[in-house]
This record gives sequence, C-alpha cells and structure tokens, in this order.
Amino acid sequence: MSELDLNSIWESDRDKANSHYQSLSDVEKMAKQKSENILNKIRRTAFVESIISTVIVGALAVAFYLKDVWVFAVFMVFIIPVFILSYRFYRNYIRNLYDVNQRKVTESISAYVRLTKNYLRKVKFYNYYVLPLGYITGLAIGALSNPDIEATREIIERVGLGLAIGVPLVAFMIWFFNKKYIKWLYGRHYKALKQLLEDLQRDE
Amino acid sequence: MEDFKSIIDEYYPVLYKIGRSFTNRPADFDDLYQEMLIQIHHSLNNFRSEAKLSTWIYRVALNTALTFNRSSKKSQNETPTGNWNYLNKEEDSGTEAQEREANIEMLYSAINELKKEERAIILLHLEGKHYDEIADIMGISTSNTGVKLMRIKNKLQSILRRKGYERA
Repeated sequence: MSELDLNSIWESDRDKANSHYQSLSDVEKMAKQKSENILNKIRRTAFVESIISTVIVGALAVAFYLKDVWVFAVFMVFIIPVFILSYRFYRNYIRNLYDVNQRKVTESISAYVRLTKNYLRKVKFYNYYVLPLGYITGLAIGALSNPDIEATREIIERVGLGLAIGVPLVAFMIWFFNKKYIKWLYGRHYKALKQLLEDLQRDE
Repeated sequence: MEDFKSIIDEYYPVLYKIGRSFTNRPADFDDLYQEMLIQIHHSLNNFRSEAKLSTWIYRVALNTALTFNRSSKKSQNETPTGNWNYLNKEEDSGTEAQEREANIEMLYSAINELKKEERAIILLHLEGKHYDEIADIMGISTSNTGVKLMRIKNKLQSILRRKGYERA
C-alpha cells in the first residue's frame, strides 16, 4: 500500500480525536487522579507494604507488651527499624525516578531499567537476608532480655529444641516466599522494561 | 512556560492517537489517556525549554505509553476489539464515513500488532516527524531511525495485507 494511504487514514482520525476531547475541568480532574503506570504501581505497592508492615508489627508489639510477653514485644520493637529501612529504599527510588520520563525514550527506559534493577537488588537483599536475620536476632534479644519473666521462661522451655530447628526453618520459609512474592510482583514488569530497552537498542 | 490548558488544547489529538496505538481495549485506552495527562501535568514544572515543547510532549507521552501495562480483570473480561464507537459524540453515517472508520480501525489494529518501540516510531512517522526529530525523541541515531522505519513499514504493510486491506 502506498504511504499516502497510511498518512491520509491517520489524518482522517483527527475528527474522532476531536470528539474525544473533554472539557478542561474534566481533563484537570483526570490529571489529578492516581497513576496506573507500572513504575507508579511498584512505588505505591512498596509504600503500602512499608506502612502495613510497620503498623502490624507496631500493633503486635503493643499487644505482646500488654500481655506481658516480653520476648515477642522486644522482638517486635526491634523489627520496626528494619521496616523503616525498607521505606528508605522506596523513598530513594521515587526521588530518582521523578524526572526520568522527560528524557529521550531510550535514555528514559534505560534509566527505568537501571533504577528498577538497583531497587530490586536492595529489596532482595533486605527480604532475603536482613529480614530473616532481623527476626532471629529480634527473637534472641527478646528471649535474653527478660529470661526471668515467667511467660518468657515457659516459652523458652517449651520450644527448647524446637527453637533450634524452627528458627532456621522459619528463616528459610521467609526467604522462599519472599523470593516468590518479589518475582510475582516485580519480575514481569522488570522483564518487560528490559525487553523494551533491548528492542530500542537493537541495530544501534 | 506553557500552561496545562494550552498544551492540552493543542496536543489532545496526539495523546488520543498515542492512546489508540498502544491499547486495544477502550477501558485500557481511557486509563492510558488519563495516565498521559497525569504525567504531563506532574512534569510540566520541570519543563526547561531545552527541547521543543512538542518534542517534550512526545517524550513524556511515549515514555508513559511504553511503560503502561494494564492487566486488570476489567481488561481481561473485555473483548480485544471492544466498542470504540462510544468515543464518538456524533455518529457518522454514510458509506464514505463508514469506510473511513473501517480503515482507521484496521490501521490501529495493525499498529497494535507491532512491538511497542515499533509503534512509537511509526506513530511519529505518521505524525509527519522527520528522521532527525524521531531520532531525537527516541534517543537513537538518525541512520538507525531510517533502518528501523523501513523495516516497520514493511511489517505494517504485511499485517495490513493479512487483514485484507484492499489497496495493500
């Protein structure tokens, strides 16, 4: 088909585009709504994760404190800074991404891939190592800080050997499920961005 | 600096066409169209006039479209073609209008079969951009733009032929 045909069809769509135009107030309202972009979805997910985790752990700490179960109360308080650390990853990621979409397309996609790769590396390090280690250390500190409390002693006596086997098992489970979760949540988006960049850079 | 209103007044047909080229369902189109508006609105304060406004608009809009990935239940439950006619406030009638409408739909449908980066390049070409301008927006060399464009046009042509476009 001739190029002229394509261009004339393309131009003829202007009428349809005109009919789609909303009033400026509608457009401004739309512009203030929440974003559905992949990267913004990742940012929102990371933000919500940090908040929910901190709230849950904070609530558990209070609950255990009120029940006088010091071992877990101390553990929960210990783990909160770990979640705050994860929020810092998220915040830095947002700051770096802020003006990326105004660059040339290849530069922009390249920056998205690089920033997302760095972010994922930090998230993986945090989830695979810091978090399980944080749980184990928190439990240990909790148990050692108040061994005289009756409830704490009972827990230690009851779980005893189970703790030695259970803690590595819990750490493994945290690692395993986090790995699956990260792959499900970010993997396909990251893969799509990488593929796009490869397509753009081909033949350069 | 340009204000949001004047930008939208001038560029909404471009946003519409980008939206149509990167989605194949009306619900996805609405989301992408809105997303492009959000990004332009949020990024406007950072526009430094280092690039032409039109170049800047294309960059923001295409970067948004290229990273847009809708996979909601709403999209999955809808037929791929969907009903685009609701976008028309005034229905066209008559054979000529119907034929024009069919050609437009066929062109968008063919463009939708291209890879995302190919859609961006052909779209800029159809918008009348020269090689150097396409290269500047896309961040690739001018010679590579020519090579890619030739390949994309051939690919688009064969898709249109397969779809039964008579003059293909």
